[in-house]
Amino acid sequence: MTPAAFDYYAPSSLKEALGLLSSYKEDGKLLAGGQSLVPLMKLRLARPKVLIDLGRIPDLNTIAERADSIVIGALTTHAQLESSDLLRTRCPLLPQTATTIGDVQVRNQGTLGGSLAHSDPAGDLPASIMALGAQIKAVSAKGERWIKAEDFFLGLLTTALEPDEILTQVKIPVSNRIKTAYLKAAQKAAGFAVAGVAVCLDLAHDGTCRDIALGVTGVTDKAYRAHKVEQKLRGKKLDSRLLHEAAAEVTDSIDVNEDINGSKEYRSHLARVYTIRAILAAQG
Amino acid sequence: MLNADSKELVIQDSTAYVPGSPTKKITFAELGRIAYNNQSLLPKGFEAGLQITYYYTFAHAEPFLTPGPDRRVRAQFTFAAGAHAAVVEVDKETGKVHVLRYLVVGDNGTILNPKVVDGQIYGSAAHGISVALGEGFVYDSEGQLLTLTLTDYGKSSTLETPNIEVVHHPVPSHFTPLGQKAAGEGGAIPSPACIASAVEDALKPLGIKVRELPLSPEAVWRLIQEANQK
Repeated sequence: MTPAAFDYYAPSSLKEALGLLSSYKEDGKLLAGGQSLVPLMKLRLARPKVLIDLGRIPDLNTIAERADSIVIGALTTHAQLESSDLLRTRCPLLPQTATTIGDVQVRNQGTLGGSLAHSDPAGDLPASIMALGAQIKAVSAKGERWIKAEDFFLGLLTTALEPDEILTQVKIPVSNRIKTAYLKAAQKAAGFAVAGVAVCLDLAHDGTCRDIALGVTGVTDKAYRAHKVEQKLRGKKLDSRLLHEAAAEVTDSIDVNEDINGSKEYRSHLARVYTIRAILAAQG
Repeated sequence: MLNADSKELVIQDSTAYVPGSPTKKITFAELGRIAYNNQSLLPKGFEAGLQITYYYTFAHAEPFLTPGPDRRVRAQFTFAAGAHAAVVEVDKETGKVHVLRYLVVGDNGTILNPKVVDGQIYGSAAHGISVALGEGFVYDSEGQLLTLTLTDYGKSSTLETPNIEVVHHPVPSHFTPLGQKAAGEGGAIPSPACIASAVEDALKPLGIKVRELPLSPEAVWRLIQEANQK
């Protein structure tokens, strides 16, 4: 299929893009890597009147190190996340996650900001961004604001971004103490998460869990933090019995998805299995 | 061209000649060059080119799909045979099946073109393994087809397809001119049963019988759950 007709703009500055967005509002759709939007347009599930291509705006695809954080531009591709030495040493969860996304072509085109703004319920990066406790920068003609990852994903393909805002950066707090992993049960053809779990784990020398954050994707209409599981594990030694007990609560009070890739029952089970496996993988 | 009667001609060593007449002689190469490139040298009334079409009728052919007096249907003129063996590993927590090793012994009769025969076996075995592990049309309770695209259909990619090891054991057919047999069926037909048997064997301690395909991760997980509840 071919997309419905649309007008195309390729602004060369963020200011210009914000101007276009504030004049077209809901009629305008931002194009980053196009790995989610373009297929939806081809199926005519999305019919934006105006496409605003962010690809020619400079400096939106850089990865920069600050004192206790890393700031990543929204147009950074999954392939860049995968191969960044800085991320590999200071924030390995993002390369660990990016390497599982789609295939090489998707990773070369798809972007961090695009993945987050699309809020696909089976996307990989939302889980990791949640576990990392990242902040997301939204810029509009009126100003800018930082949104906590946990407040960012509102539901199926819905985020806290306003129609006149552009996601420009993601800020991730980093610490050398954190051990991480991202594991998923992947759908066969496209590789997206039927159930995926990202974990950031801070272990004391004696093996006690100082802190833990779990981001879960593929299970419900959006990525979420598994607070109940985290609470059960904080301050404790992570033995197998405790892990099983805690993981049992990963889908408590969650409305679990059901489709041809997994029933509610099986998905909930996968979420529990992958919670345990991801924590064990982070422990190393 | 040689001003000779066709009955006088002897064909030998890629050459046509009249015995005892050293000038009445032409090689196939020269004949080909004339037939395609120098038609003015062809006898009058001869078309350019050297082509012939021949239709072979298989001696045992019967109309397709019409049962004979023995009530059997001869849908194919010739058949392939194959024996398959698989080693699989089942993740007992998720139900996911990994094919660790896959072997095919093929009887394709006299093999005319080994690459084509191997290709048939690889391709058809890969399809059969994919059928066993995920392919299928899924409908919802309203009869709506849910597997509309190849994204949902469950086809295995090269990532899930194991390396297929092939050993040839050709037994020439008595019914074909060169002893050749078919190639595709010997790969495609045994493979789903082979995978199902291997999964059954892997889950032997649980006493599981596989009665339905595909063996998607959830289907295998359910078989394990049911066995554990017994």
